[in-house]
Amino acid sequence: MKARVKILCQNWKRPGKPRYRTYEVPFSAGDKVLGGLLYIYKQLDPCLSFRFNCRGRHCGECAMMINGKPGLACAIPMSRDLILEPLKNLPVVKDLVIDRGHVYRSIVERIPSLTQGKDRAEEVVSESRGCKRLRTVSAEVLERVIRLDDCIHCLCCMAVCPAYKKAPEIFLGPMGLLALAASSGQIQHTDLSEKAALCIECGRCEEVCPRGIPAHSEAIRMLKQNR
Amino acid sequence: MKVDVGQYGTDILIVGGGGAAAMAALEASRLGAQPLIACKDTFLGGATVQASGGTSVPFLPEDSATAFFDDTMKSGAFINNRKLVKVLTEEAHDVFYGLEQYGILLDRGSTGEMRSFKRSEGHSFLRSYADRRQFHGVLAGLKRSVVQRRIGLLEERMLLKLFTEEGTVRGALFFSLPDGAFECVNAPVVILVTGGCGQLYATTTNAQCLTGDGYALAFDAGAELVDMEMVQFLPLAFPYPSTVRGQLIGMCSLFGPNVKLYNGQGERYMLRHDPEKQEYATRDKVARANYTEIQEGRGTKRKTIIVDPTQNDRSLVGEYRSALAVAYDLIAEIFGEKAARWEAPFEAIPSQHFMMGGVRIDEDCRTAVPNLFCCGEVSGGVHGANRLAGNALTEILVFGGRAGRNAADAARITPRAAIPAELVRSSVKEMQVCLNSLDGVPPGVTRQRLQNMMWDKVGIVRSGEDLEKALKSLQRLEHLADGVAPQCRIRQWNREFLEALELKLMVRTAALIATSALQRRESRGSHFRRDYPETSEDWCRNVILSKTPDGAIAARVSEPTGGTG
Repeated sequence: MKARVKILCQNWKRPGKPRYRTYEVPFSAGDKVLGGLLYIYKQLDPCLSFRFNCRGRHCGECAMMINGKPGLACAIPMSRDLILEPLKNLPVVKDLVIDRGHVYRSIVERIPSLTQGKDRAEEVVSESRGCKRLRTVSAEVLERVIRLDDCIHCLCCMAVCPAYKKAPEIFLGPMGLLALAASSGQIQHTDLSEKAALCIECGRCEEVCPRGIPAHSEAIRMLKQNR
Repeated sequence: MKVDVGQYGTDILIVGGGGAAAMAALEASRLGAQPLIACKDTFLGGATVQASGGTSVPFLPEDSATAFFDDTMKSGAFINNRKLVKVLTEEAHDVFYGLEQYGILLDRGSTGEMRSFKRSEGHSFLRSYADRRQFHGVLAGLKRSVVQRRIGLLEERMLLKLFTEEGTVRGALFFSLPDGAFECVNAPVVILVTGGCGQLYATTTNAQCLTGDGYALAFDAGAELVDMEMVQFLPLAFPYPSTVRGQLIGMCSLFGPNVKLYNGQGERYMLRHDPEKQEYATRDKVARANYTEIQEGRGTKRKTIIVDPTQNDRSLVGEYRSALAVAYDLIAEIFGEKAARWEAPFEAIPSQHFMMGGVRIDEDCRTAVPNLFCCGEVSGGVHGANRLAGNALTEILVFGGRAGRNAADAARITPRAAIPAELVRSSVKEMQVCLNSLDGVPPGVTRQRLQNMMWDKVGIVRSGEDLEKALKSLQRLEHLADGVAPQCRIRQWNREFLEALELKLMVRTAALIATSALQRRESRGSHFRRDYPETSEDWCRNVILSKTPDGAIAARVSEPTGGTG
């Protein structure tokens, strides 16, 4: 089978005006978009820039817009007509590469720290020593954290969030709110509902999450109720 | 190209971006130092993000550090560094439970008891932490902590050289992928945590960035390497599609208590390879059996072997599946839902997974180069000839923290000194040669040749003859690596530039592995020589590599640190 792959690339003659380049890529059933990208890089265009690393849905590096929807290139199957673009709403470095580290840092720096300092460290260990048990947490908190604190920071959710698009400097976006909600119950936050206020509850973040984290239906709803 | 090198300065430079880097940075920062992390991928990455989460921790009341020590030594075939194993096994428990100080909530049962995998080869007790989020929950917490403590991060920077002056480390040179520039970091103390070298092999579970740069560069800076021949291969990995090839399925015990392996002729070959333990033999044995069946033409048409979980009690599948959700989901996708429900067999191939050998360190993570610390997969000695399942994560947590603390102490008493500008300039010029070459093959083509050669000649089954051939072809490849020509000349985010620079180091790390493997004239743990198939008492020793004054590789054999017991 052959695929027509259109990729939004940098235009070096007119900076700031990226353009689509089209490649013809052979593929067979079961092949992933990442396979197509590697074919293009090796056979057709060594200048095409895209991230990937683990090839197994763990590292989150190969997230991009695939036919208008964010997803991991290592997970989404090839198809006859493909349009690939960098993740929306995020600063582009080149072609399909976005400034992942900067986005993560700028958001997480604004979240109250969960790190509990030296004293807490000793308490955690001494509590567990001897009885060899972890401190007891309520089943509700445990199950919530297990569901929510499972993020690989691929930023797919940020690429579909209309509120983040509008106010990236103020709004934490789904990824930030998720981190906040995952920590809620472990330490006290004061202004949870305020942080989530800009969310318009479209639920798209949850639809595109490659790890199936209930970012909207659980995390953000919980924050809005200031729990 | 003009030589214009950006300069940074820091107390402690941490090179690498996995779990060991995070632990080192957090501990160093807790002691008041200001570490800077520079890593080749984006933080937090490396092999740590691929981990299933299985961390070895002696948590059962009837278990002990001593029992854990004995299991680790036995698995390592007694050439482990006993001092390192002592630290690993004694500190594992407190360091692991102490993770919760970083705002991590470890997975647990309803009364706070540890959740663990039901079985793992080589451990006398249940000792493998099982997290329903794999390791992502732990890593998300470590990553948040590093960022919230404002620890400096330079991402997508490849280490090119460790600068030394009068034998002491002074800092490092990096290539910056985003802008194609060279950068120099002055640092009186460096922690090397660059991880493993799976990309040296055609089939590997390792991520793209794990090309083993740290081994060659530490060696170059004067550090010693120990048991570089000890490369671990796992029995089961995905054979297709191409982007998934080599990805970890795991070992037989993850597919129920009654799983069977068959070759292309329908023979249950493990009865022949290990009549006693059969499919549940140690991982190295099963990997070797799988490799041999395929290599000798008894594999399936697609050069795979068959994993048959259908004879298991199927009521157990849910429990096994939830402990390894990602692999089971991939099995369902590639081989069909029935295979993931133990109702049908599926195909697999063996794959490179881990490097036991590496930079020789003491229990404070010091190397032979003053103020160069090292730990994690790039270091050697903890695992001996074969790593126990789960011990890699324990290693990065325990020794990552130790490296950070010791580096912070060292940084306090070591003044900063700038690297001489002339040294920086000449190093950069040397590196630029391979980026500016106009005539040659693309770096990726030579990389593939190297990977295939390593898989065939320095892989699961070795021989003196093959290793000699490998060293010869590595000489040719070294020459070819100097002559590759990136086809793309754009400076920004040019993967070919990165591959060209990696290739030079990959060839050197490969030569270190092949040299060490040629030295060890026996079979032990993961190292199998068909010309010396037996384990020899006389070889209960380490192969140590160091650099001669003229830059050649010198090998010597030494008693393991702390004795062989």
